Amino acid sequence: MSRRTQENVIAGLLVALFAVYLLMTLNLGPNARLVPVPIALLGLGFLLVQIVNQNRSDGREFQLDLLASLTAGVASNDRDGDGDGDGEVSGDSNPGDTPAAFSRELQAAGFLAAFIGLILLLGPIAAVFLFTSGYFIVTRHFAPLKAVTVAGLCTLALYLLFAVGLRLQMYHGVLAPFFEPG
Amino acid sequence: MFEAIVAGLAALATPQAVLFMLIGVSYGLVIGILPGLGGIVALALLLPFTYGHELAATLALLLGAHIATIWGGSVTSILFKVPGAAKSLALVFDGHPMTRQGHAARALGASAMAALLGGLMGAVFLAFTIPIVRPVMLALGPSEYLMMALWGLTIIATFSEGSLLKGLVATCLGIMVAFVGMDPVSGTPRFWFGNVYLLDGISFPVAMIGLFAVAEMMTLYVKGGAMVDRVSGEQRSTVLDGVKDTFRHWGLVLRSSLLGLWVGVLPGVGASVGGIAAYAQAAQTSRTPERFGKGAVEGVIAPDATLGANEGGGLMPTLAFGIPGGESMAILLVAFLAMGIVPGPRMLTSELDLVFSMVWIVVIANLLTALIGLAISSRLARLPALNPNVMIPLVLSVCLLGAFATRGLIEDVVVAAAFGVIGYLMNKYRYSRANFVIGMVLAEMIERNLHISLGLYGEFFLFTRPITAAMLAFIVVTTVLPFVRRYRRSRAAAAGDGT
Repeated sequence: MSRRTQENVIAGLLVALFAVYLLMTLNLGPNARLVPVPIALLGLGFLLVQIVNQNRSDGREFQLDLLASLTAGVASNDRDGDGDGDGEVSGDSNPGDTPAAFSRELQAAGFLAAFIGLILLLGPIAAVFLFTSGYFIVTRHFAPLKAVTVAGLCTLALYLLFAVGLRLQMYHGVLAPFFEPG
Repeated sequence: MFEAIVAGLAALATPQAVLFMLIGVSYGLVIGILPGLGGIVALALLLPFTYGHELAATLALLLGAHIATIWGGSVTSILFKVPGAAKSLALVFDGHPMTRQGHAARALGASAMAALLGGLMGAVFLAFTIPIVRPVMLALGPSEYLMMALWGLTIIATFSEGSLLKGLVATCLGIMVAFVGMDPVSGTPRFWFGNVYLLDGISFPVAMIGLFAVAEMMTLYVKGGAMVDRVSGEQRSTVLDGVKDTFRHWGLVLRSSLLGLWVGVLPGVGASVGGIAAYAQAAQTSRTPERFGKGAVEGVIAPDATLGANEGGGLMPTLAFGIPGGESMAILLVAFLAMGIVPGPRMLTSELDLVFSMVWIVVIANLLTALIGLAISSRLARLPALNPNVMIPLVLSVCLLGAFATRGLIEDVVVAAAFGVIGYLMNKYRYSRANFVIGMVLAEMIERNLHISLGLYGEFFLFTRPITAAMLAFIVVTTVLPFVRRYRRSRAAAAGDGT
């Protein structure tokens, strides 16, 4: 999928989001929708212009930078030039534009989903131990025994910090009732 | 007054006060460094420990912890692009690029020193300006606060790297997310899909953990390699360089501190706005603004000086009028009341020694934080060079536990992960995450003050409130100016091509 198509898919999803949001505001009272309606309309408007912009034949985006304006363009030219201008921070290289990167994106999302799943099933502390040790083993960063040891120490540190130090009432997961005695 | 200054210091010279101060600062640094757990959480967790101790010692514990969390939050912004709290967001813009270039120690040194100088100015301000600022404070109403929030939105152009339109879309998205939950004015549930969890709204720290920390770990995994592309531990500058930078830019420190004081004094504006505004003014007044966003040390100094000074400014209305300058100050106010300290004019007369105790606490806590910060900066600076296979699971674990810890709700963990994916996509497709956060921060302030202004001053309040009208004119000028200059530049360029 080309970059432009990806951008259009994202913009399309956002248009749908803004439209649904706008429809939902119609059910609200006049006070409750006083600000959300104009914001949704503005967002929709900006997005439509952005879609037109990004599909123009020259592919040039409408760029404006307060810094550039204040410095008569010096900043803009420089900031556009290199990818590391993390003004927000969005300027990093664009990961995920190659098939290999897309595969890694899916893996990253998979890791995250697995971690969340473990937390929901077993609670944060057990999940941290299983996830970290599993991650160390899967990536072969540590030998299995060392991976389990390092993960155990990290989990212990986090347990002491959050559960003991901060006296956080831990969640034990949806599987907790199955492990309770009696 | 001199007696009060001495008495205020003497009250802190007890073993318990010294111990509590050390505990507070150390605890605050740890909490500040943990993503999502900022000063509010730190103070809330300390509240149960505030009974049965010396008054000055308890204040040292609370204020010491609160002040130390500020620098703690800056550390993660600089090293990992993970703002420890909303107020530390601006540190990401230049702090993290410095880390990537091997100047993490310098950035941390500058950050600690700027926070110290800002904090000292805040303390001095707190001591001497209550009678001066009071009339100014009272002259501003909700319509002026609304204008300030709108001004905050207009400065997002500074952060709209690449497409301004995408930046504006991101801002609208942030505002929309902030509207999930109960409408603060009418109490109407909005966008909650029948889910009780959403009635409380999306937690700000949780969203930030996802948008920045989780997303960053995903990016790190996809990209491969360490967060900092350099040999582990190799630093191109030292902590001392950062300290020198701060003194070299003394004018910037002074301006940023004054801004922080002003933001702190204004109730409800919050340090988040202050940090962003400080960054914007640093960029606008710099002779070399093209370096901003790429690792300019001024981009670190300005927000930290503002955040440091903000505390003194925030304490002033809290003590003098019982009006908290922000969320942390609201918790402090609760603690004050629990300790029998009743804010009001009496604080400036019969309780003046207590006020000066707080001034001294702000001074000492800032000094201690800076000393500890400078001492550990060079070690902290090596962290981003850790192997990603170690970094990713550990940072994810801390972040998701931090998300859970913010409210003790397991749903927050899921929301943090969801925002992680959103943050990753925003980063990939260049929808500014900073704009999203700014929108989220300012949404409630805009809505609340708009409703109050309409209620108090009617539909035409823009024209009946001269200060509001002047502020609106300022906003319009600063918003339109970039467009005009861009137009002129393009015309000049076209004319140049034609000849």
